[in-house]
Amino acid sequence: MDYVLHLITTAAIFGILALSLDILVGLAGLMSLAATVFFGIGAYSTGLLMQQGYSPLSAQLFGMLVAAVVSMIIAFPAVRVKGIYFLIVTIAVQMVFTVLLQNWRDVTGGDAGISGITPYALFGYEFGRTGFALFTVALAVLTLIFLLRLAATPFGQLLQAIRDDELGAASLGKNVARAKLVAIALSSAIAAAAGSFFAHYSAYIDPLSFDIGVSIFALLIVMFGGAGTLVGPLVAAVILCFLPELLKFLPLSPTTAAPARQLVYGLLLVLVVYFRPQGLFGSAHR
Amino acid sequence: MVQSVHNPASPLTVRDIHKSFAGIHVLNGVSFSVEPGTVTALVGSNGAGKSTLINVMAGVFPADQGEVYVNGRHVTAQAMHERVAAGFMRTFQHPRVFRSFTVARCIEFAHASTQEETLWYSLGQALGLRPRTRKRPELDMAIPALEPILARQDAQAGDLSYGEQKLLMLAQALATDSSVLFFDELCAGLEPAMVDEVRACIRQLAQAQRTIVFVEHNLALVKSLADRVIFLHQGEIFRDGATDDVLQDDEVIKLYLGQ
Repeated sequence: MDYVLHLITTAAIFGILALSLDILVGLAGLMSLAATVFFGIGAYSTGLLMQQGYSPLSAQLFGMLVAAVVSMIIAFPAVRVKGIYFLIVTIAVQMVFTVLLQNWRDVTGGDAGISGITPYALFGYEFGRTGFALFTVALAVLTLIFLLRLAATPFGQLLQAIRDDELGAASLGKNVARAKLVAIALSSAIAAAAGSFFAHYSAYIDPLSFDIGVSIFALLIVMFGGAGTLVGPLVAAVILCFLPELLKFLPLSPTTAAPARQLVYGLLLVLVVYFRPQGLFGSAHR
Repeated sequence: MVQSVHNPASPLTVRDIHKSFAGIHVLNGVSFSVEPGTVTALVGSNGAGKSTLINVMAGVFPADQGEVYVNGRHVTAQAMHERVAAGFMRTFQHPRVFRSFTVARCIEFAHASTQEETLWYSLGQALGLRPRTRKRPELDMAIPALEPILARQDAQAGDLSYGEQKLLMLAQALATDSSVLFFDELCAGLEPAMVDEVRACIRQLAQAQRTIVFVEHNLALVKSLADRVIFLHQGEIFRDGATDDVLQDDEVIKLYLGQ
């Protein structure tokens, strides 16, 4: 049962991370491989502030604020480029962040990371394993509902118009650069909130939890579910977190089981890309 | 920042515009000014500098030298959205529509105010603290040319034909309420009946005191629509005057038609 709760909590946290990334990739059309940077800022803010005796909520809110501000500072020059060039900037940011976590030992603890982070508590109420799993699932669903509603507002429409045709949106008098900056800040703040939950849940964080592999996984979740659909990435987070575990039930010998699971996992992803390039929930118009 | 007023009476003034790409001079000191409610055609051979001039006026890229004024505002150093706020709206030679939007949503989007599009305003709507106001796409005048598009409000913009997408682009431009409208080959690719409708639409807009500047290769259309023609050649204004005078100029005919 504990293991199922672990999977549910992990899927919910990565679901929130994927939703944050879908604001950029799916709504605004900004392909990013730096989602884990802001996930990491949230996690490390929580780890550091919890050591100083701050409450989980204040640490989490501080992490969200730092992520939003840092992302806007980084993005200020980057919003002038688009497409593959924006993606390259995000890869560079991600790589610098990993090096920073590994080498700024006085603050981040370097490769040793930060340990002893206590479980999440809200106004003194401590969640048990089941409670925290339900709490994160509820927050993932609430984040989805909020973003679905936001996507239907004029701001959401502006982001989708930028995704469809940036020059067309600018020619209609839309402040494209500002909208992108705000979208990046919002996305980063939500990613940081997920990172904070991750830090509390893992009790230990280190640079490996926030490297480019995790950013690729987050982007994979978004593309697999259907960029811009919001529902898709949340469902995809559940599928991609549970799938490797379900594949453990394949009747294989212990020596072949691990590579076979990887093979089946990869094959399923390739099949989706081939037959549904717009993702599970994506529309051909996007 | 709005700077000093250059010529408050002119909706659009460009002064001494220069632009080069990799050392090649595309625009060499282009200057003109248009009057309110007039229709001006910008004509010239391929490579004359028309597209570059449009892009400099719209703010797609900066001029190397020179100034642009829209409704008296100095917009030379301003971004595209600020020029639209000043009253300058352009369309594109090839349709630029938001493929995933419906027709209604495209026009609603064009009409949405900057205030509505801020995150704070939209957060209020997303959280249910502020009512959602969905405006039906309505233009401030009945324009027959746009009826086929307005009748297909639920159609996906990406599914429209080339001509329909051009009309949708026109509808979006009109939804911005800009006073200076710049149409880049708006009628290229439209069927003849539709061209007549668009011609009537442009006349209607001019009568409503909108200022029209358009790029067009169809000289019959230019002759029937424009009050004035600016003929560009090798990045300079070669002739500028009343439509008949410019189009009957022997040197213009020779340069443009090769006769």
